[in-house]
Amino acid sequence: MSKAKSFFKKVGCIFISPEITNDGRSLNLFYKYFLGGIFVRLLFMPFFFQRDLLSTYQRAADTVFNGNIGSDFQQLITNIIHSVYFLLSKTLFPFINSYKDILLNQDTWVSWVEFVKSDNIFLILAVFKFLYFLFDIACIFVIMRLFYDGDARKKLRIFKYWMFNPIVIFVLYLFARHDIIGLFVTLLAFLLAKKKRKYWAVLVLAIAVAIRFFPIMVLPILIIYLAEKKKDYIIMLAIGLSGLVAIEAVSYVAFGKSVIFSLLNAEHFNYIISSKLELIVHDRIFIFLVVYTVLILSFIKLKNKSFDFLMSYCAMVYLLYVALSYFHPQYLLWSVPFVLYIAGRQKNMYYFQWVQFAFLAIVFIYWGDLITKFLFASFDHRFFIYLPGPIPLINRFYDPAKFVNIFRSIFTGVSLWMVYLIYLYNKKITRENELADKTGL
Amino acid sequence: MKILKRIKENKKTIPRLLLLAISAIIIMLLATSCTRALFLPGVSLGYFIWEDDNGKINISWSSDRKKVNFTGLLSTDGVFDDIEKSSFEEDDKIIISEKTFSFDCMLNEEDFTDSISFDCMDYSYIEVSLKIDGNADLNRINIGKFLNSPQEDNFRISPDYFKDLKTIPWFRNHPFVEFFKKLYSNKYLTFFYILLLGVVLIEILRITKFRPVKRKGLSILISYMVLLIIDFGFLVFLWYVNGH
Repeated sequence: MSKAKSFFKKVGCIFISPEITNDGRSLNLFYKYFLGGIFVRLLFMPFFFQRDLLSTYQRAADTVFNGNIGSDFQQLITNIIHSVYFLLSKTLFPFINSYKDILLNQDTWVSWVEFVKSDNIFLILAVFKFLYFLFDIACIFVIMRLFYDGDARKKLRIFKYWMFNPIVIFVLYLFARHDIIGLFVTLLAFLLAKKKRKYWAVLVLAIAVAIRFFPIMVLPILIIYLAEKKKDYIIMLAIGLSGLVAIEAVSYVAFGKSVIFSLLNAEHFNYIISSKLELIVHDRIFIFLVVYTVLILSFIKLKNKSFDFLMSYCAMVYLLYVALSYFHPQYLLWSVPFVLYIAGRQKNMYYFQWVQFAFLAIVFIYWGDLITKFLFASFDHRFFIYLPGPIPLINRFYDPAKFVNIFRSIFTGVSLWMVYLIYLYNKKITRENELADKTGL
Repeated sequence: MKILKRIKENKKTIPRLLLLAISAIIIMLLATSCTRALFLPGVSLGYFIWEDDNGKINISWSSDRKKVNFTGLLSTDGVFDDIEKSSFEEDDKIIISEKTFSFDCMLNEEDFTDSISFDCMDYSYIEVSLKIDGNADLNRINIGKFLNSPQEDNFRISPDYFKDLKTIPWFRNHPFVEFFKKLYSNKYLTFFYILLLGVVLIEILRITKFRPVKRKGLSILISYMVLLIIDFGFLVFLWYVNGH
């Protein structure tokens, strides 16, 4: 019995952290938050989804059933992960084979209707989302190792904030998007960075970039944080871009298509440059790129680039992105772990995430039925197809675009305020460091 | 004032009151057995047919602030009487005779809804054909209830139709009917799912509420028994609502 107990204690020390495992009260609280978080996740898992989940698995089914590896060449690794998972799932749950026709149906509307009205919809949604659940739990365990060593109270606070985070729960279990996979690899890269495995950290981040383009935004910050000599910059930049180059090479050789150019020409890249100041003739300034450049330069100027600053700058990058650019709801997930790091010391950051989420829920409205009432379509497809959507309802009284953009503007205001709070937090840390230096002198 | 003070002092009161209010609204909605299809003029799209308290049959149509043409033809083996039109504009047409009447109306961005009400005497049926922009979109025709749609383009309404509609229990209406059907078609999984949720809840209770309780084991045992009763009870309910 004692052997088993010490085994679980060791496992707990590895995954949860020794600070919590060795303290009975903390462990009890940890268990309570864990169960609560699992309960909320289970509650949503079989019922809600957005059309993109079906598209993701349709591409995976195309790979598995037809052997088409390039069914999603822009997200090659993501597709391979989903394909492997789909293959395993259909081996474990043979009923998935009955969905073959739906998954291979090219007609987006017909396949969606057939999918939502099928009798096994709740089961298949739970199976599809379970992959994200695994990455979700893996993420929090990486975060537990990443943040606030030796401080069980802060670790527990962050654990609670993640388990009950509205953005995490919405993106993974209601919206059902796969950003958590890329986020998990990004967090692994930061864990390696914390342990000063600088080249490995950048290499893992390069893989994260290959999975999902977003980590490229924090790549310069990570390189600046890790580089000790001038040559480090060149080596790490080369490693950092290697993931993208590798994907480009594979895509070019295997499918004869360029990933980078297709991404640059895709509407998603335009989101980054969506906010702009029009000058004269062709001349315009892309606001996010301006702010991003200032942020990178200010990080370079920092004297003492501590882990605190690394986290807070990453939080600022993603918050500024959603504040100033067009984005999809799942992109907000990228800011969550970094904002939670700050929330470990400043509780109000977590509450601001709730405020962000509340306004985001209104901003969704303008994206139409697929993102609003169709999320619930698995309950009763006819009911939610013919139920009037929120846009006609608003349109009855007021211009829906204006209505939504009022809330969008407040959302931006809240996000910018969060950036300002992080700036104040950084200032406080700098002052504390200076004071510590002086005292040391 | 004292009540407000108490609510302020007890943090748990507000969520409890909120939950109570939401439950009350849901129960009220479920318990409502009216046979009027609720719709929002200028928001809902389609036809809405119901019988009012005076026994007159009403047909309304609404569009979501878009230019839509509504046409219909009604005939009976009885006699149409006391036909009243409401919100009709100059261009909207209605042709009435003793045993039939037809209409051809247009809604647009500023014109949200039109409606007709009528009595029908000595009839065994009213045959109805309704079209939206020349097409018979049956899912957009709601008779007495939302999504209680006809199966055919030319459908019939009998004298007791709306009375019979009142007897249909809430779980046979949308969205419950499909939801319960799907849950029942995977009944073992539904059982397992509720069990899993329950186990997690009892585990939370075990480490929180039951911790200071003297007979902890008994509390847990009772909790599991309650869970099993709820779980089996829900399965029986699903079995019943799915027509067994």
